[in-house]
Amino acid sequence: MTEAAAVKAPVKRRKKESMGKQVFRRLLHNPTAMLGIAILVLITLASIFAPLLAPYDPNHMDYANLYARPNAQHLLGCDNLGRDILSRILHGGRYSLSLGVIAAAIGLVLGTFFGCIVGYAGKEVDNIAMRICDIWSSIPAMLLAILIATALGSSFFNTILAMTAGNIPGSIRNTRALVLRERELEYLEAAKAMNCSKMKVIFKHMMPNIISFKIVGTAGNIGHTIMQASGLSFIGLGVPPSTPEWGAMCANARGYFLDHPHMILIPGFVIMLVVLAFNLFGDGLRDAMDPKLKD
Amino acid sequence: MALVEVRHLKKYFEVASGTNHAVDDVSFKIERGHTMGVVGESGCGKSTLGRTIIRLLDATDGQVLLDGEDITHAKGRELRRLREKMSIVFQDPYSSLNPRFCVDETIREPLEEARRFTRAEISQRTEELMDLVGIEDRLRMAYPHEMDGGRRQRVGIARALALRPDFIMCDEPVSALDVSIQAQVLNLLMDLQERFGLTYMFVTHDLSVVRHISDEICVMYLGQLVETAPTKKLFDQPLHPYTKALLSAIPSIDFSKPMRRVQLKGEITSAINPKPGCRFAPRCLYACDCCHEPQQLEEVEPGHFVSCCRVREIN
Amino acid sequence: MNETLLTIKNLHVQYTSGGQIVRAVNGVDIELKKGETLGLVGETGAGKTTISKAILRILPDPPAKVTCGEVWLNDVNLFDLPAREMLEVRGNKIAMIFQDPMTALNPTMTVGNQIAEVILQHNDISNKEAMKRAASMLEMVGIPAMRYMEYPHQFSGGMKQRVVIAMALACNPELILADEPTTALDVTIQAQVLEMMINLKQKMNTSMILITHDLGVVAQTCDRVAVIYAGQIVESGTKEEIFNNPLHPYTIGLFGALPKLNDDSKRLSPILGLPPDPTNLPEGCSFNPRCPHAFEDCTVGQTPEMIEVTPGHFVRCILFRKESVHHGISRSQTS
Repeated sequence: MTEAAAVKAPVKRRKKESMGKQVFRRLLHNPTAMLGIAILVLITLASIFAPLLAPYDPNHMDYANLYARPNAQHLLGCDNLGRDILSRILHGGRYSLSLGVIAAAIGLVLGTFFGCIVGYAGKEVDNIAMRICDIWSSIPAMLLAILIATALGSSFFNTILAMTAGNIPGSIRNTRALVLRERELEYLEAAKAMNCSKMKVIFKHMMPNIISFKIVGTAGNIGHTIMQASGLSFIGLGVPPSTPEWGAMCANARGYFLDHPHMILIPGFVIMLVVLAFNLFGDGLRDAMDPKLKD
Repeated sequence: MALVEVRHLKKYFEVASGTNHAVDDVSFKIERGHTMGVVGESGCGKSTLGRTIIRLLDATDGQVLLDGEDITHAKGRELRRLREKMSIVFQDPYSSLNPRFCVDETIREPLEEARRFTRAEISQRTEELMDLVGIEDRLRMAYPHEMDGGRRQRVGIARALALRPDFIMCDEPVSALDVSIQAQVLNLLMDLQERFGLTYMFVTHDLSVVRHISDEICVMYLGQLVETAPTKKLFDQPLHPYTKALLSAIPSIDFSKPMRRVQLKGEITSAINPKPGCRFAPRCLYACDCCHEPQQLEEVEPGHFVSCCRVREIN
Repeated sequence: MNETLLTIKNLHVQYTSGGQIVRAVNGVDIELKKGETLGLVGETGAGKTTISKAILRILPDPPAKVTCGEVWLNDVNLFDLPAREMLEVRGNKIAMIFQDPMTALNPTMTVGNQIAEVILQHNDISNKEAMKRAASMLEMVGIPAMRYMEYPHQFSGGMKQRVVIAMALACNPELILADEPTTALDVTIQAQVLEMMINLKQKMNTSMILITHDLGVVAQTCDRVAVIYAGQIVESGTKEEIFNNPLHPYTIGLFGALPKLNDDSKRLSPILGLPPDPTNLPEGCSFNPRCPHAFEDCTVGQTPEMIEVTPGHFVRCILFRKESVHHGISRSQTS
């Protein structure tokens, strides 16, 4: 086989690199992913330091500047109550970002966990679990949220709970589909043949191979969750009304769209920017986690 | 005593349109150190048979004996012990290796699972195994996608050998490989057999490969065993009409002898809700009423078993 | 029989992938006579399928690019034809049979209508007439016409491949490109399909290029054989010449690696090493790193020229160069 070595030597002996390190190194080399990360870092920092950065109190009403267009005094203008939009955007990031990220992340973790088990467990479990998911997802997310909000009261935490509850069945279903495809592959059978327990087959062998697909989906889910939460705020069940939250700002601006478009366009643009950034980041992460990728 | 003995083994699957009799009443023995070739066309249940024997699937009925011990219903610790004695080499060298495991991780996993080796022992054995199957040391940290099919299959073989099993079920191990690489892997398998006294069950649809490597051959058709005999005997003197048709259909590289194909009617049916009797009968030139009765495997000559009620008339 | 139908001259195809250039086909010349069957034999990645797709001009561009070469069908260079006229050639003059019958058929259309559609596309006839012709095509490949209105999923693998063949033959093409047409089929079904293809080809006097890795299939169906290695034909000749008197070390290696049905020797003699990396072909003869007879001359310069050893039997190996014949023989004797 020495000749063979001379013919094709694509792989050099190298030290095994931890997966995290490898993923990080690959991300650094991906310009679009880095752009996504840069946007996210910027917005996150701006939200964290909102009290220092914001020119005004987000709830301060300046009656002299109702509906003000963007100008030197109010860089992004004011809303129908004369509140400074820039300040509200900065403060709103704290709610909107954490709401979207936490709800999507919980959905990812629980959905992947149960989806793996359901997909691998066999026909009966699968059937029962899928019917439960059917029933669960047939309840409109809004109705579910209303139920939770009325039962537990409206608060930031309960909004996250409501959004997560709406996310989970979809996430389970999606994971299950990935598992069913992966199940066919013989390496899982090989794992079974060498005495791996079911849990090991699922979590050591199978999960790492589907998680990257899940992460991309979740990144896209964050924006959707932010928008949904705003729906809740709109009917008065999400975060408390005066809270500066991006979705709520959009909802609030709906009535003034024709006369004062900046009120809806600015928070809308910020949400879009965040969703875009998460998608870029998610795509980059998926590629970086793909072992087939060349360095 | 035979290392592996299969007695009236059945494996049925429930499918949408009924019950698939994937393996139906199959019996044979494999002597220690021998290779049993199992041939048949796609869907004849040969892979299912192999997987049922090594307990990756649970038998519907019948018995599997390993070294005289009934392993059909072994569970828990018992099964763990048995799985170390048997292993499997898969057909597809692409999907049978975890894409996120490098060569080293793949080969050491069965050793780790055995839970009785120290770290140093595991590393040493991994190195030995790589050397044994001819994987260069520089590929230790390589991922499956960085290697060609032949090397991947070598990694699969090393993994199967890790715990020094007695019995290896080879499920079409070379059918995804090119001719030149296929020969390398076949030679490797035969060397290993000689060195460790391994017993193989070699499932394949490629008759020239099976003839090359096997001591005995089983021919399957739609879940049933139609004929089993020592290799030479089977090729020189096939008795079952299906075996004859199968052998005559191989395109020979010797074109001076044009194919004298035994004509077959129709196409392969399915093993879902089959009628009793010989499943080959609808395509058989010699079919008659007695073929619709259940058939018995009959020892026509010593070691040559045929399941056909008309075997004496037609030969 | 002696009229030339297809001539390929100096065909080069490259793929660009991730900044690297994959040299898939590197100077292939093929001449095919009317009614003749040529077997293209080679291993995975040798460029067999790329050649057939280049003939039909269905290579995805990018990443594939024909960098050089001509393909003449009768008196027309296909590479000079405008795209619209090429449509006429595909299906009508040249038909292709793919390896996987399932992906070649539309699952939502009845098999009869799929054949009729091909006929309608290339002929100016009525619907009714086309359906009638489609039904007779089905009969011709051994499928009862009563199954005209059935869908592909109601057919077994072998039957589907028959339908695909019926589609390919529907317009009486002059040339059939069959890319591993029986690889996905079982042995007994493969025998039936091959037999049928040979009979139909004879009846219609069609030429065929049969791409396969199975030397047995070649032996039973082809008139001439071309062995491909690393995107080049390394040996070509009549079937009898190639099988009885293979000259190129690669061809000899291929036969040696084959488990033979009538040979009881225990060990096979594989070709050492691996096929070359097409992004980085070795200098000199592409086969030199694996060749048991290679010497210094093999590892430098361009790939060797084709040498006509006996009339019609070509080999790309410098062992057969006139001035090195002596050298070559002595090498092979000592090895």
